[in-house]
Parts: sequence; structure tokens; C-alpha cells
Amino acid sequence: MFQHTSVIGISMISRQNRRIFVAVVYSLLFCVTVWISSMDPVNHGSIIWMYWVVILVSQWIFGRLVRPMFPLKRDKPKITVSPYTPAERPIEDERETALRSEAYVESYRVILVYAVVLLLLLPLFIYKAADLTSGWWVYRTMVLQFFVMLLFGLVLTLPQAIVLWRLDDLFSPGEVQ
Amino acid sequence: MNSGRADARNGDRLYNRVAELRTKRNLSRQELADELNINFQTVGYLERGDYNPSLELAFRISEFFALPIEKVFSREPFDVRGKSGTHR
Repeated sequence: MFQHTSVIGISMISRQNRRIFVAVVYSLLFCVTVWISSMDPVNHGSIIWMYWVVILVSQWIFGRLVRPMFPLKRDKPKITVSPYTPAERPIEDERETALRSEAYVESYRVILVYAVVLLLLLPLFIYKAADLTSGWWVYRTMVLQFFVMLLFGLVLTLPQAIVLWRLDDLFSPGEVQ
Repeated sequence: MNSGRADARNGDRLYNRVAELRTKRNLSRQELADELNINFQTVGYLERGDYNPSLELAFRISEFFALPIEKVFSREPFDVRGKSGTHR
């Protein structure tokens, strides 16, 4: 599952380092989301690509550690018709497949709750009040953009982040004892 | 959904002698993992008792060590059963 065990020279073998790394990446993602959302909407066309750059860079950095979570190949063994043909071995071993499945399920739960809450709050964003020039109404577009952009960020990065966060300290391959 | 990892975490502990048998044969985790077609991390988690293998993997391990499955895996610690080599 782990393709590399370091990022820019920092070891990711210990869970503590990985948790700090995930926290830093998500803090950056959060800051960029706030920054773009607070921009004048006129500039969004030229600015929003930066958000995508950050998401894709986060995805790439996570992906250097944990194989991307949207596999193009089947992970399960193929069912064979002939009894003499051995079943194809899974790409990953069973513990890794279970770990990835858990991460998918957990991120689905988080994203589902987030999406439902956002949907329930949507009337607050689209309701036209009498005075649109004061208080909350001035900022509602920014806040809506923030939540929607954050949703995209979570969809693309959360499963890998959960694996990095959860996995215990890694073992070294060579030792006999 | 219950994975072997969740089972091990939840206290449905399955004891094994993988670490003892591996060191007796002077194998590294990577070498054993290659023989079993699994990741060496999985060997480590098995030895530490953090992961309960599937029945298929448990059989593969016991076949590799040429031992009956009950000599490699147990619901009780091996020292309680009067055998050596309970592993944490």
C-alpha cells in the first residue's frame, strides 16, 4: 500500500509524523479555501484554478505515500471457470484491502453527513431577504463557495488521509528478530 | 463490516506463533511476506497481534511452516496451552 515512506526527506514510518503531515496538508487546504472564498467574485475565474492546484498537489503528495484510492484495476481475484486455472492473486494483500475498504466507508460517512448538512442549509444561502446589503447576506456567497469547495477537497483526499492517520507505526522489512 | 484488523482491535484476539516460527527459520519479514505473497507490514501486524488473518491466509501460513493450523494459531495464548511462544 505504501509506495514511499518519506516526503521531502521526512520519514512517514511513525504514525505521529503522518498525523502531523495530514494536519499540515489539510490546514493548507483550509487556508486556501478561505482565501479563495473571500476573494471578490470577479476574480474567481483566475483564482479558482489555484484551489484545484492545491487539491491535486495534496492528492499527489498523499498518492506518493498511499496508492490512489480510485483504483482502475479490480482488487478482487477474478473468478475462474476452469478448476485447473488458479485464481489471480489480489493486487494488494487482504489486510491492505480491508484497510482501504474501511477508509472508503468512513470517508463516505463523513462526506454524506457533510453533504446532507450542506443541503439542509442551502435555503439559508438562496433565500432572498429584503435587505441584501447588510450582515450575513453580504457574505453568503463566500460561505457557500467555501463549503462547496471544501466538499470537493474532502471527496478527493479523505480516504488516503484516513489511511495515513489510522495506520500504526510501520515495520522494517529486513529484521529477523 | 468486520475486517481482521477490526476484530483484533475489538478484542477477538487470535494468538499465533508466526514470529517464533519465522525467527526459528531465520527469515526476515520481507522474505516470509514474499513466500506468502503478502506485504511485509502484514507479517508485522500479524506478529504483534494487531491483525487476524482470513482462514485462507491462516492456512497458507501453516502450510508454509508445514504445521497443522492449530499449532500456529489459537484462541488462547500458547503458554496457557502449555506451549511456548506467545507473541505480542
